[in-house]
Amino acid sequence: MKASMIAVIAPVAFALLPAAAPAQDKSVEVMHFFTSGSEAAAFYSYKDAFEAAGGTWVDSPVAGGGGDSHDTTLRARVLAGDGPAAAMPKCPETSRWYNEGYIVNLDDVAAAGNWDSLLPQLLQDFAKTDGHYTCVPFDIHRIDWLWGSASVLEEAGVDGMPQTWEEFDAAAEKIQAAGKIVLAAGGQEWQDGTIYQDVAIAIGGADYLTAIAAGDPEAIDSDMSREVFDRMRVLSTYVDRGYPGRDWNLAAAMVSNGEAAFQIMGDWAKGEFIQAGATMGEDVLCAPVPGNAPDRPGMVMVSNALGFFTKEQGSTEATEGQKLLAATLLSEDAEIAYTLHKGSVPARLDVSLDQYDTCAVQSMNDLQQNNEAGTLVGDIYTMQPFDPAIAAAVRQVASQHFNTPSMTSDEAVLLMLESVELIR
Amino acid sequence: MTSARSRNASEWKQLAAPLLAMSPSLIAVTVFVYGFIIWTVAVSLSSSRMVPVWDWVGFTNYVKLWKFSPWRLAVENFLVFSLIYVGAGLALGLFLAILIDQRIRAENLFRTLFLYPIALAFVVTGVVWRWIMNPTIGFEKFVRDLGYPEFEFAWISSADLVIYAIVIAAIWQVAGFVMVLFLSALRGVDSEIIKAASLDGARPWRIYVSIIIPSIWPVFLSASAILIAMALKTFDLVIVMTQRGPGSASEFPATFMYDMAFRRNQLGIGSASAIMILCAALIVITPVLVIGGRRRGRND
Repeated sequence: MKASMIAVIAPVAFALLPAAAPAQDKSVEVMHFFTSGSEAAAFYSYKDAFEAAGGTWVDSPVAGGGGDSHDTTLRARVLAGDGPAAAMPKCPETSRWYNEGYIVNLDDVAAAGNWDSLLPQLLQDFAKTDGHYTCVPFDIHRIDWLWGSASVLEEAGVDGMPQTWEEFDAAAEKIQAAGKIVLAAGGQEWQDGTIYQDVAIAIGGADYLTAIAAGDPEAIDSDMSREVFDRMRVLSTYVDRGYPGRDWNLAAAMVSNGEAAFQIMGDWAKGEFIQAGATMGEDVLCAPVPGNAPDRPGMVMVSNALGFFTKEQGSTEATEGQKLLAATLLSEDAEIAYTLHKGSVPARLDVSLDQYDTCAVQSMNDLQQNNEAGTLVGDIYTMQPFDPAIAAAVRQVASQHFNTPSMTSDEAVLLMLESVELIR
Repeated sequence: MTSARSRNASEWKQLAAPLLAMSPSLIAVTVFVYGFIIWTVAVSLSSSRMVPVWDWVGFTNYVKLWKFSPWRLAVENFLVFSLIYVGAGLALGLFLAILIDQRIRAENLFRTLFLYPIALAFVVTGVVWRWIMNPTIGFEKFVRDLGYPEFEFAWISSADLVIYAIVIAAIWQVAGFVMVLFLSALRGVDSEIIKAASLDGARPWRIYVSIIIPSIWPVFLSASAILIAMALKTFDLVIVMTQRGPGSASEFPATFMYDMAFRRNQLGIGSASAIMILCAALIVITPVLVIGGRRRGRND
């Protein structure tokens, strides 16, 4: 009796639900962690574009640059059945949420916007889970950048940015002779990890880095790994003694104010350089992290993205507001307005480059080349389909090696094998 | 029989009021302390990664945890830290207490001065000591500027020495607190015995070593228990002072637990490490409770 009652009522209730919701309500709660000056200025250009298109943006910022507290808050809210309509986990994380039944499907929006032809192959792979669009990556930060202070290089008599490690070491000698710091860095695990993956792609290439992210024992226990660690050891002698715990933006300031010659950091550092009054390509120079030969292939990138959550676990139906915001994220004008402030380049490959500085233009060109050659790699810590615990273990070992002068490359390889084996 | 029942009834009445008064906190403690301890144990025995999963994998997480060298480093750091922290903290606290016990002038002023650091948040202590220890802006630069350009003090930059840098900051903070514990105990020692000893010609230091300190030994016990408990909770000081660095050389059990559970999506291993911290706390606290209980029993 009861069961049949439910059987009768349930379809009726479901039929009524969509009608009960106001058809024109396009409000979307956006949870994000872009709270610092330049980031907020950049991100709210999406808010403007979204509201101009008829949406209502309910802002829900969670302070904390790296997004740690954002992720924690997000998890608590989603599990409590109160997920925000949109939030900012990286795509692989969103796809894990999708598998738990909390993410809506954006295939309609993607088809209408022709995302398949706009996005680089790698980003499409990230944005899709089981062939469905579940995530909207809207920018690309290159991570394997070497930033150089033009004034320090000139003072030390170094001619241009080094292309190979040989040139880098020769430049380092001159810089040290001139009494300057060679490498501005901060002894925080993630910064060491950034240097590590940049060196790994520069020396080992894209396939090697991917194998490391996957925790492949053969890749870890290889001559290549030893070469990478040897290079890390050399780099560790170039940092100054005040580097422990230094924040990355202070390290960036050392480059822009002429205390240090180089910094290895993703292109979010551009925001700091520009804020310090530097002109990119003139005061602060940019080049890919050196390799064993000039013009090495490979590029590591990280992409900011929005995932769209549902409050009803198991439903993949996007609201009108969510669809509109998803489409707005990849519209050309909004992309340009956003990335010009953010320091990244648009996720779409077809945006005109007129307004961008030389570093961004190089980033775009290298992006296209590496996209075609298949040597574009996602950040091994946040943008890989593998268990993130593996990369976290890799980073921990890389950082420990970088900070322990007595640790040999062999010891680092063994420790990495052990740490990765544990996670499986 | 009736008398027994009425006695029970009157006992029940006596109990009812305090029980009723305590019930909110009783319920809160049961749910939020013991309830969540059980919850954490359950998670630590499951295969939970990103979200809690209620399955059973036995002690896999504990085995993994103890095989994991960063955890062993965290435990090693904790042991080194606690040993020095408790040892030097007690010694310095006792020393300060004995100094102040000399009926000096302006005792209140000195007591306040020494006690003041404990009133600071660990975050403040951490920031200040990070600056002091930083070789490029802190103590090393200061001494070098005084005219000793060869002077080196960069413990905070060294993976091997960073733990001692943290101990220094921690002891600076807690010494005054230990001092107060000892001072009140010193003042509680029967003055007749001390007078008698000095009449017998004992020197002051002899009086301290042979009479006063042995008679205040329970304070050593309770102070060590408090210090070890504080050492177990060491989190904010490390996060602010070294951010677990350089690298992850100053990892502590609590920072490890946070990292695993909330940043690496390893709820199972994170919970296992939390339970290990709980066990360590129990091991420290139990003897204190047992001995304290015995003494109370004797006093009855």
